[in-house]
Amino acid sequence: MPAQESSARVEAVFVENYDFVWRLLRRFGVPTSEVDDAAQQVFMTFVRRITAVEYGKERTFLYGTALKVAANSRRSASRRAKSVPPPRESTDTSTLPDGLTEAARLRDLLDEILAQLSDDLRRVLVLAEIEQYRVEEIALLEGIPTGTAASRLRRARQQFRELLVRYGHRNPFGADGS
Amino acid sequence: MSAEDERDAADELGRELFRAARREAPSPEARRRTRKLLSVSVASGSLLSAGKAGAATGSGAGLVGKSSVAKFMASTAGMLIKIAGIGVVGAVAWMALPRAQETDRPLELTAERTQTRQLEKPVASVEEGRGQRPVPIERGHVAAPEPTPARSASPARERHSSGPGPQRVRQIRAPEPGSAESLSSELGMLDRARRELLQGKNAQALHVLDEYGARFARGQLASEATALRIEALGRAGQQSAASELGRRFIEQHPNDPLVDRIRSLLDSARAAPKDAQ
Repeated sequence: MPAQESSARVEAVFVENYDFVWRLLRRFGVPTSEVDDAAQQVFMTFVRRITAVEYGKERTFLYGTALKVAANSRRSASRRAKSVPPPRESTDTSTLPDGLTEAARLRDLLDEILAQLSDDLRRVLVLAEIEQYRVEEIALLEGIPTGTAASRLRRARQQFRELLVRYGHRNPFGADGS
Repeated sequence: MSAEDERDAADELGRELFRAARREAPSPEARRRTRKLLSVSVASGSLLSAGKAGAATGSGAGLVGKSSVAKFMASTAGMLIKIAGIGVVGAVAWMALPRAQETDRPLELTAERTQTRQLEKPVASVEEGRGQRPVPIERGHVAAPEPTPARSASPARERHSSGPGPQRVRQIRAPEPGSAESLSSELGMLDRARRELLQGKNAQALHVLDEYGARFARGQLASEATALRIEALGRAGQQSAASELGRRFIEQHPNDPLVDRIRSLLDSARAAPKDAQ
């Protein structure tokens, strides 16, 4: 592939997908301190395999790679946790302005709830609710029939809602309605 | 609160959680750093492809007599000259990027650029390659406080030097500092270190970083190497070494774009038990 074409393609893919990949990694359990490196690894893999990635399938490739990188990262974190107690992963909000503090707490809570869903349900929920993908697009990324994607999403939403009810006491907008 | 109220509250909470997640974005620094590495990687990708083409030629050369060998040598030399040309231009293009403006700039290399200033880059001799002495870690600006014990870059070099032809050719050339080949090698090594780290192989990651420090006295990615070393040391339980390295880096390079990341690594290291291993 000519250098110019490669360069333009990598640039376009990076601009279009960097935030997407980064958010996926965050929601798929990559520790905060590692997510930048993990995102970098995903794109480096893309560059290394660029000639094997079909045009128009870049996002699917990045998605699959991000899932693998996230799984490796989780395994690695789990191994570390067995040898030494893990550092507190939830965001240190002591130095953040109030608005950011609240957002960080909400995301910590979200991660805690998402971690209780099975991987396949978590993936479709993240794609639908955070990335705001349509079911057809989710099916494409996941490589599953649309009907399967739809039923997974239904189950994911149902389980998520049940978990939310259980976590209601931690609602930062809580009973006092603040 | 009735069950219905509870469900409504849960739905409202769910919406807020997703909204907060949608608003989260990577830092401009992380974006800039990744973009920079991709840019370098695209440049060196051209180089590596050319190297592989040379490999294919080389594998058949030994089977078909001297004239073919001579042709192979000539074509390899030509290839190396072209590669060196790509390297120089790629590196110049990359290094010419003002850091402050990198965020919104497209990746720089184009075919025209990579082909305009080729050729005439000398290929170092075997002796020059061997003459490279291991030097202190990461540009020498921050020596590792606790280098991993008795590791040498030589085994890896020996492995490479006995490998197939083109790989051997790549090894005996001394990468010029700042050339795309040097950047490619640097990138490859840091990529390896990062992979080891992500797989929890901290000792191996440190080993790769030792090799990096030995090969690239004034590496272009020395700051990235230091950040990786701090992370590896922290994960290996050598918190005090990680802290010391980080402290010295920040002291000596207060304006380096990686300072924030290193601070964050140090915070993580502080949260873990000291020198657990």
